[in-house]
Amino acid sequence: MDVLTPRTLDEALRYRAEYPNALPIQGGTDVMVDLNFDRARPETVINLNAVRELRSWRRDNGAVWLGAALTYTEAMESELAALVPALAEASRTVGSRPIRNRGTLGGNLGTASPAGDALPPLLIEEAEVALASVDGERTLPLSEFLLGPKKNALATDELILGVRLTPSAQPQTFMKVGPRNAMVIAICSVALVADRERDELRAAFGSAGPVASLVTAPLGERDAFATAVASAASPIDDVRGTAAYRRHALDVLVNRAIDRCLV
Amino acid sequence: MTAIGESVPRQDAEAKLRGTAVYGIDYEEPHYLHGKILRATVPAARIVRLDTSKAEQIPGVLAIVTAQDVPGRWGFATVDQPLLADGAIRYEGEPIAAVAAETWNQARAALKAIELGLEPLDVVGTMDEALAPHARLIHPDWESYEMRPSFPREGNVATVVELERGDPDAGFAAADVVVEGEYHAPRHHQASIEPRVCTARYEDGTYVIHTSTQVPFGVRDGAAGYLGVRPSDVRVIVPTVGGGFGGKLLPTLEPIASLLARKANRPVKLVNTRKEEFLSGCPRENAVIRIRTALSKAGEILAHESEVLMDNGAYGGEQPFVAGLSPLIVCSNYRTDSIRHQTKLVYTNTPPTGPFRGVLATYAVFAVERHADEIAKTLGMDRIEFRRQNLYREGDKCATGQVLEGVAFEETLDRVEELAPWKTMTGSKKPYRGVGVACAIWNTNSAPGGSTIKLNEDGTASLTTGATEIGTGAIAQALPQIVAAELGVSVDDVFVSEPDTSVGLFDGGAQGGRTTYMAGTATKKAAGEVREQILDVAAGLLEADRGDLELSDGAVLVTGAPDRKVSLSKVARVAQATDGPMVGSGSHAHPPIEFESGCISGSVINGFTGATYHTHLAEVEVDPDTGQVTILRYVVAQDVGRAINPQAIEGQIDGGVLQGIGYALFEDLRLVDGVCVDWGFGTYRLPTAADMPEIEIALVEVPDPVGAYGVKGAAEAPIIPVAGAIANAVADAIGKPVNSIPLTPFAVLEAIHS
Repeated sequence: MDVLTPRTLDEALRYRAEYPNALPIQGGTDVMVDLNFDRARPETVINLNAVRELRSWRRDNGAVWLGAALTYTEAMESELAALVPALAEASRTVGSRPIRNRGTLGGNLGTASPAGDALPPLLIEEAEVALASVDGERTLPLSEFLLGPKKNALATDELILGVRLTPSAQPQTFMKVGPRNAMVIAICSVALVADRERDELRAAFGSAGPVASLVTAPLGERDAFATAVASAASPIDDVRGTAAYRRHALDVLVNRAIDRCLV
Repeated sequence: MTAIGESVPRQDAEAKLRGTAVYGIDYEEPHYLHGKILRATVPAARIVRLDTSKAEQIPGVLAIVTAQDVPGRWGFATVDQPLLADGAIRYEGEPIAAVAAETWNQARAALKAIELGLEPLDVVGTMDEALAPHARLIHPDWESYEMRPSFPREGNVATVVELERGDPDAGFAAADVVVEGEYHAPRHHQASIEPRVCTARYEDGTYVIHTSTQVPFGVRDGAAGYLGVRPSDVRVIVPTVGGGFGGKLLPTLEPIASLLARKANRPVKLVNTRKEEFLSGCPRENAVIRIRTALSKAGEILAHESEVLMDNGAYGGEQPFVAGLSPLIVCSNYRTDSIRHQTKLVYTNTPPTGPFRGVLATYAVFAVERHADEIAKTLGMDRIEFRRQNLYREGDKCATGQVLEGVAFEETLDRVEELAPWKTMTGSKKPYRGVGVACAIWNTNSAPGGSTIKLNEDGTASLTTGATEIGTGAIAQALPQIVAAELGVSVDDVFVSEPDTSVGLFDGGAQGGRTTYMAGTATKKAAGEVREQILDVAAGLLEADRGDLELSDGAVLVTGAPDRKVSLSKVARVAQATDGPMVGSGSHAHPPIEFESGCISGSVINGFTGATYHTHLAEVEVDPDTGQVTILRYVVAQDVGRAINPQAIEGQIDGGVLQGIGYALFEDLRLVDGVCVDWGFGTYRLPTAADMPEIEIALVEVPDPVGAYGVKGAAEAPIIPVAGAIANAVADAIGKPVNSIPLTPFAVLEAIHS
């Protein structure tokens, strides 16, 4: 296996164009597991750790830019946490401290697991994903980027640059149910924002359908919203939990999230 | 005398914290080869073809072994297990062949090149299937297997234990109330951080094995049994062990590595992957427990009837011996003289089950204590009042009729009461909050042991024993404390050498809380012998009467005359020059116990040795919408006989309780048709620090008549009452019985809505 370590974004994109079957790696919290379990044997790995352009976050004309290499630990830091609080809450529930130090937003998007903890908080803030190749950049709403379980719209010559979102500055939260209190893949999760400005409830669920998905309703429909979210989900039975439990828990979590956000 | 009862730091703390300790997995020999094992990927099949010829051609491959290289079977009780699958596959994960190669990748390639032809057999995946009429026999030749000693068994039933005492039928006939219950418990994986690992070499006719084991002499005997050599032809040395919990008790990798090493004529290292650990780790067996109790209205127990099914998996291991403990724990805690019990150990096409901290008792006590709460509820009695009325008291008889002495249930209940007064805890019940208690009596394993101590010329002492440190601190602190106390030296001046079966005296291994109890008592005897020699020499040097001498601060002093003293260093040097080097040995075995012979069959365990008493209390909150259980408070009162090192015991209690929380709430090694569902920590969930409440601990010291200083086993037991205490608290919180563990959110939610 060859490991390519580009130093700049340009170099990374050139490698990506040259080696369409190469697997990009950032924190490695998903990729290394697949390698260790023999689920993936790419001939080439593009190690993005030295690409500075992908790192960190910044304010951008009222919006917020989150680099693909932003770690969960960084998302929990106070200034960013105040701007995107549900993402910070979700980040706190990810793995253990070493995993949060390594795992990144870009990785969560790249893996596109229905259980990706960062995805529901980004969906409720209507984040857009920025993708680049040697031919240029394009932007996709996150809901269009996520195509199916572990499937996304990333082309083989593209890299994820990061996401852009305009913070709603409205009360929001993230919750997940797992069989224990830390270091679990969610049985199901919910991010919810009660947007008074737009008179809208937005909820996104994880681990309850093929992709993390967004559901919206006017604030006035709060009483029926939990049921609406639960019926929008299409959970399955798997080794972590049953479909019935997931649907039930989704209903519970949405009601609790509404209670928390609409006080 | 100092050091006994002091929380001195353990000798291995620094090396373990700094990462310099050499664990089994770190140990390497020059030019060693990488071994790998071809394991079955199906639970039941006939092997019709096994061709290693292509694999032998892979570059770097120096040895491949199959059943042809190691004919025959071995087993601690029933001789039912081939080292490498012989004609038939009986569980997923069963070793079929093994290779040794220059590199790990070559070994892996060789495994893939082995050609295997299989004819599938019907999978007998559960105990119900195995016990069904006309079930396929997992061991069609079971009758021809030798069993030592010979217990009743038949077909898929690997052993039957029966106990009958008094007149249970009369008890049930006279009952005002009969309470019945059925309880289910899952498979439970030990999950030591370090997987099983060993390095073997063949040198001058001896197999030298460095292995991460908790019972070096058991591994020696098992390896010798498979290899067809004398036990002394196998030498087992134990580097630092990265956790065992029972999982490193049986010989597994060692005989395979030995075979490969001999065939390749090079050292061979075998390391289990995590998946192999899950597949072949000898987990605690899943079990079903049924209990019926006959009672008078006043809450007196008139008779007790019980039945246990234990899943043995495909091979026996030491499970037939463990099953013999079942009546003592299941027909227990509560006074009655009319008992009927049966335990069946059942073969299935699943990975062999085996020893895990608190063998059998974790689920037996869960069942017994859930049942006790159900009895109290049926009678309308307070749960503590029922326990105080019926728990064993001094002079009561346990299931086998052994008269119990030093019973400490009352003391543990009293200490829990001091920390968490029952009336306050249960007085104003909040919705979905609950409190539960569980009591347990537990045995200290009394396999024999021995120690040798030499007094060095600098006045320090060296201790050699076959006893093994697996993390409890028994070797890293308790035994040095005993030597220090007896010889009047600093604990830091006592050196313990690593276990080596060719050097140390026999020891029954780090299991069943026995190390301090048995090896510790042997060590006290050895130190006593050295002490006598020291006094003889010092009496001459000081021209004093032996009776006037005391040992303190590395010297011998004349009592009342502080300037008249001689250092141990001088004593040792004088002794060496006159009589030769100073050495003392101590050997210890437990005296036989008295019980009502004839009441029990299928068991070699006739009563308790070093019995300890335990009460745990849990307070929980249940989320009625998600079914999640949060432990708010956890209290432990544990009888330890005598606390040699209280801090060490508290550490073991913290660990044991957390392990018990995992068993009660999360852990379940699931199998579907004999195929392992959980083979990694992604779905097999251990508890983490975030699931752990603060654990409040009270140590109770009711001395044992046999153990040195009154000591009893302390490290094993704290896992035992946890599932019972938590399940009782959850049942109290939701007002419904919960008789199957683990109490996952799904199960609890279902119970709430039942």
